[in-house]
Amino acid sequence: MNIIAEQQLDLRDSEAKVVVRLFAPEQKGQDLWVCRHEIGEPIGEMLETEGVTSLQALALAVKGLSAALYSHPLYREGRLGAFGEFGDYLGLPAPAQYQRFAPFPF
Amino acid sequence: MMPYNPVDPASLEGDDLTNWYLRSPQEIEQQRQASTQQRYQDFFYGDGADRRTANVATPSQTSSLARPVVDSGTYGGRAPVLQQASYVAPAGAADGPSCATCHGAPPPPIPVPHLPPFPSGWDAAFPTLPVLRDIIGGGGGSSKPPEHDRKQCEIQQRRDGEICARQPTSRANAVCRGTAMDRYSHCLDTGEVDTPRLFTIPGYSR
Repeated sequence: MNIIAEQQLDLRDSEAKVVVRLFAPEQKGQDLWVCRHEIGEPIGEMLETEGVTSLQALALAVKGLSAALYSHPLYREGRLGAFGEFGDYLGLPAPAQYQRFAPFPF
Repeated sequence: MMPYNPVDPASLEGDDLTNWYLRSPQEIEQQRQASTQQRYQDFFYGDGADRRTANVATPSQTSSLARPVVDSGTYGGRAPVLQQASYVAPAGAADGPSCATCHGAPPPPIPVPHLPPFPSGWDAAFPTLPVLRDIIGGGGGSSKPPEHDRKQCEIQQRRDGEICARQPTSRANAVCRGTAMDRYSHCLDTGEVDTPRLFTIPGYSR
């Protein structure tokens, strides 16, 4: 699998970084593409998002990745951040239903 | 009836958690009835009565307050008796069938709440919260779902994907997958599963 996007997120009061990776969509069958994302420790989550096309799989994977980050307790507690700010914009848009606490729409 | 032994899903992991989460509607209904039965037993006969008594009337069988028949060894030979004779009628008080609260006619049966059936469209595999969150996360309505709720979101996402793959057209498949991701996002945010609705073509939803 090829990494097509990567970012390191910050943890408050820690030198450690949370590595986020997005992989290139791969075709698994007719009308079935899979796009994987990984979020490193301490979150430690991975999801393979399926789509009918490679573009849909990619778009949904970004949305799933965004949801996983903005919904995580570390973000809600203001301990996860990017660009020197915590509990704020992480460099990717947030799902529409998260606007009340992450006003960064697609 | 079998004693009700509730399973704490927070203690489950992997396939056990998946199997608990994918119980059939019949299993869930049976457990719900068992829970009601247990609460009834605990309330009227004390905590753990169902495990100690050998012959206790069920709510549906109860026509009056029943006395549990207790294993003579359970309490060292002293079987507990429901408090039936503690009331002493004051002098001059009416005695007889007209005094329903002391002697004579027993009180009417205690009503057992009727549990309504599941509403139409309710998916037992993914019951709508807050019921599920109360069971798993301990309630509280927190805006931060605990870690094990996030596992449920992944389970829902995988199951939704299987449903979407069975849609008869590419467009229906694509729309379904879009709403599946909306459900995943919503689940991560609130801990609620089975909402919003998964867009599927009727007949291809399961």
